Amino acid sequence: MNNDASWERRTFVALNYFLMALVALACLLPIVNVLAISLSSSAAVGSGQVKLWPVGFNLKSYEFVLGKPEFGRAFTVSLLRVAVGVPVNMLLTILVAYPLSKERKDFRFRGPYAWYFVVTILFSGGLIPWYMTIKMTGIVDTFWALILPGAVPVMNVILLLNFFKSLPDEIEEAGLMDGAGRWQALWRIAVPLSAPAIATLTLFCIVNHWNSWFEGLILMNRPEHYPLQSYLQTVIVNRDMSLLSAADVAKWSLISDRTSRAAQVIVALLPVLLVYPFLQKYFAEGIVMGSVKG
Amino acid sequence: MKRQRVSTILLSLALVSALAACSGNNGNKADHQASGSASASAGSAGSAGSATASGEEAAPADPLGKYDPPIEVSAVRPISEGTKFGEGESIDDNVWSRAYADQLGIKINYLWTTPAAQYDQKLNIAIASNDLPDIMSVNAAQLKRLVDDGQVMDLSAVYDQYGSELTKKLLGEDGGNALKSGTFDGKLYGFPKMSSGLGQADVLWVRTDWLTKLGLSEPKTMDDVQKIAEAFVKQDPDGNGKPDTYGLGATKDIFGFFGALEGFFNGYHAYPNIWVKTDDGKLAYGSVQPETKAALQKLQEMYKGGLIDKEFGTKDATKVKDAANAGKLGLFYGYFWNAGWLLDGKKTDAAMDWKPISLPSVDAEPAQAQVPFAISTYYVVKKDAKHPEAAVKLLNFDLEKLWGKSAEPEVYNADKSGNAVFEYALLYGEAPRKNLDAYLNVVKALEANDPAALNAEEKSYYDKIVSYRGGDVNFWDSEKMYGPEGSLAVIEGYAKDGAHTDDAFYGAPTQGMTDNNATLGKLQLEAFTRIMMGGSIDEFDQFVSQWNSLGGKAITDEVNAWQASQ
Amino acid sequence: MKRKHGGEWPFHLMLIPGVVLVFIYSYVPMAGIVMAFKRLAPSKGMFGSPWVGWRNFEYMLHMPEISGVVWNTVFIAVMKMAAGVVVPVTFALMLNEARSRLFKRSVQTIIYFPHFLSWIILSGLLIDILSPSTGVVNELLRALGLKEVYFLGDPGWFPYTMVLSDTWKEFGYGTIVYLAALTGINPALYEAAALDGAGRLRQTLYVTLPGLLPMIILMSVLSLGNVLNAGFEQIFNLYSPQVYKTGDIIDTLVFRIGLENANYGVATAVGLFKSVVSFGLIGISYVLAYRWANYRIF
Repeated sequence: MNNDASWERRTFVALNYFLMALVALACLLPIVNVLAISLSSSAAVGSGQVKLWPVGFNLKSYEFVLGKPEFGRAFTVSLLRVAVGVPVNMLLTILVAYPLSKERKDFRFRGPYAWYFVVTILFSGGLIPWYMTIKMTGIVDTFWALILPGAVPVMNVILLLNFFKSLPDEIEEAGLMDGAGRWQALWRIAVPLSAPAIATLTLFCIVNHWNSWFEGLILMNRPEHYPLQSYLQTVIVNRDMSLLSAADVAKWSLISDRTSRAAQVIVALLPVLLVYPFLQKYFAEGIVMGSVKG
Repeated sequence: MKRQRVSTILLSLALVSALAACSGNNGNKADHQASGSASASAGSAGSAGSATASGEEAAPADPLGKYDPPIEVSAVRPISEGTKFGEGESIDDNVWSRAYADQLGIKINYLWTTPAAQYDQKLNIAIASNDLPDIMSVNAAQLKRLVDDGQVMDLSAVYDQYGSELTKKLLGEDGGNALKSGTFDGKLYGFPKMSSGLGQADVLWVRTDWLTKLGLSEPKTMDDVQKIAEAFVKQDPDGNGKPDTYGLGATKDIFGFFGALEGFFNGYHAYPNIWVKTDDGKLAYGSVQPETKAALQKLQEMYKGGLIDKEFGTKDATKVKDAANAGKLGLFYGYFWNAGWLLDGKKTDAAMDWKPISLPSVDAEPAQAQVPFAISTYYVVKKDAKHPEAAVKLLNFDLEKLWGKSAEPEVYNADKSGNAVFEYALLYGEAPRKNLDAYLNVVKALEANDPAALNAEEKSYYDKIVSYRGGDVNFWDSEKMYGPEGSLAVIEGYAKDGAHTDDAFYGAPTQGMTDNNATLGKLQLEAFTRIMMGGSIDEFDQFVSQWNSLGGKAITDEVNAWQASQ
Repeated sequence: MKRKHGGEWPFHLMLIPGVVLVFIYSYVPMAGIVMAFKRLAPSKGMFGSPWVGWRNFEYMLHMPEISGVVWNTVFIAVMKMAAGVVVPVTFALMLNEARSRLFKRSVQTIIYFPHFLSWIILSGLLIDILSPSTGVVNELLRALGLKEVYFLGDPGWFPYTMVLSDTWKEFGYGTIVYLAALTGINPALYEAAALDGAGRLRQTLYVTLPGLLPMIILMSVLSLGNVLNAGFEQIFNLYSPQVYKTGDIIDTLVFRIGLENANYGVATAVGLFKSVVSFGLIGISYVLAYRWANYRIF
């Protein structure tokens, strides 16, 4: 800290801020562009005038997007999916990661169990067997098809088990000495101590559930049951125009409207951005762990 | 892991969404046995089905006979984006579904529905997991796979027995090629969804306000095309003092539907991507003919001269469209409906005006527009369906209510609130000349100022053109398509003068195509792009020999064997 | 002590739900791997379909462009993997140096944005801003007196453009893990280092970086599973015939084959091949990390 005043330090700090600001700007511009498009008139967008500031400002595309019943319905499905899917993910992640974070001496079978899970990251039978299995379990076209097949996020398990491993053993052992069982040790000691990690993984799970679109398209039998991103996929992705008949042209000009596509991107982005700052608190400040350890 | 999983899934999606053609490889014996026995059993199932039908039904061969008691058939279907339903209605309950139930005694049970863009992908999964409905629509490649694997039924007998006069007339209207393309070993497995091949022929779109401004006349020859392109680049047609306009529009795919160059090649009597008859009566692939080389050479010259966007190699059709709408591009080849894509530009700049023009030719011989095979969709019936004839009846009913004597367009085509209710029908088909006839009728009505003779669809075009002429620029595209100087007038000209060359191959994809088209397609696109961007023109000959050695020769033999068998 | 806390039984109990779900939804479908050695005839089902031995693999190896494509894939993927570790770690360290909490938070939130834009949307944007004639990036290069670069059309540049744009899109999201790991470093270590007279740079080198090391190793090892995934969605949306030579990858090749042919056999074979390679790499690095660093990754 005593070096803070030196000119090297000051140059470094200035440069550091400058670089970060620059990078942040590079990340910000595209989203500003999309936002500007969503707020512009479609004529201005069509003629390529819109860069970073709306031209012909209006909210029509938002009215259009939010006024569509499909959008609201899909939005609800997605919210529900996050509300149920994320707790399921986190519960299973914690329950699996904790035993696997133990040393061999405490848990003889941790090795085989660990590999049992890791193998599933790398090997899969492909789309058709995956679909047939889910169909076999009878959950196709139900809400559970979006929750159960991906209920154990193995990658997150590995991250969490490493966090658990880095916890000081003494705290837990002290707890066990006091007569706590393994379950209490998990919920009363390991979980609270891993708050930053758990916040991070929760964010990953939210983003994952919110953003995944492929399962919805394949596992739902009616467009009305699609979660938001699956629905957006059907609206945003470029279609094979060669399949359009003359009768489709009029309709197409409606959905090709870039302003409404942009509006949908922004609306879909909002919920995650709203959640982010709350979770960010946990991994932006190194208080929680530090205070315990120190 | 996230990325890993996403990409594995994407890959499978990619595969599945693209799945085409049969998976039969290189004459596997088991394969042959499979398809042999399968088609045999499919055949017997088919005749058994119709036998039961004729034994049990009250009116055995009545094309529109009602089932009593009613039956239920399962189906899957795409729902095109933008399809709207009336209040309280859905795909399971609408004017068509009620008519099926009331008039035919058929209840349709949709196992699943998807937006049109997702249909192929979902259907491929259903096919691969053998989880099929009674009736479904498939593409040519899926049809071949289903037939090879014996998953679908021989419909010849039920079609003969139940097909209505109108159905048989419409399905045979193109001279029988459509039905032939759904027939394997003499057995009809798929009813073609009738449509127009001419709708996929190029016209030349040109900005007439720029022509006027620069004192140029409409292009008649390929030389004119080049001159106009040059003027559009060098003489500042948008008058902003900057050299920021392009000559001839082109995309990274070279071919396609907007900014596509088929029309340019056709001007040199070259027909890339389709099969053409040569002088000795054999079929040959258009891409490897000498005329194609000449066209490429010209394109290269134009590219070098800056008449084609230096960066066309990274731009897709939507980018070219944006350039046109932004007033940077005034000349490109494309489909008749491209007017709809130009509407944004017209709305922004009222002075902008486009005109579709028939393809100019390099010499005295008029250019012929290339026309791909019209049928891309077939309706099939699952092998063990109980009521295969229901599919024929539904088809009869749909065609009758849309185009027959008892047609009720205001009920079954477009309802009062303007919903395109014809979209709700399970099976569909339109006369190959539907759009052309619409154009002729609309023009006639416009001249007479009397829309009385028009059907509902034509009336809607008529109304739009009238509002455009009354000052509503939102319907400018209708004028440009269905109006007297519209793109369909150009296409009608092709039809009248026989100025089109049709794809001479309309069979199912051959084994060689399934095995090698991916490689050959890449080879062609890479070679053509390189040549256009200034590579040696000798690369074309190299491309031809590579094309032949990498499977093109074998495909040519297969295609000629197919032709001999026709 | 073991017995006192119920022995190992609580551990088994905790694992049961996860084990069961993973068995059903991951292991049962793995039976589908047999498809790599079969030709799917749907009417006969997966197991009734005829065996074709190694033919699906031979098909894959006999494609004329295969060697170039595998090279492109590995080249792009490895660069992405390296950048995918180095950039987020560097940025996390830079953020760690920033004092202003508001600044820190805003930057963190912003760099996280691009992750949420799909490649379909981004590809349209990138084609615009990277255009040699009209793109902003090239205008900047010209202003700096440099020659313009055809990022997406020049085969020499294309792979790097892919790596750069992918890194740009994902590094913010990747930074999150390292930021969380930073919170796990014991503040006492910094105080001790400061007492020893270590400046910020030395503190970073001797305290922060070692503290992050387990996470860096972990993420690197796990990313090895991607050595044959160069990013299908991105490349598919951005490549063009003029850059096939350096931009065509295994997944796009398989996609084009799929376009002509519903060949599940070949698709599964390619998938299996990729899995085995990734598994091998991860297995080796697991052992190495354990032997040399005495660090067990999972």
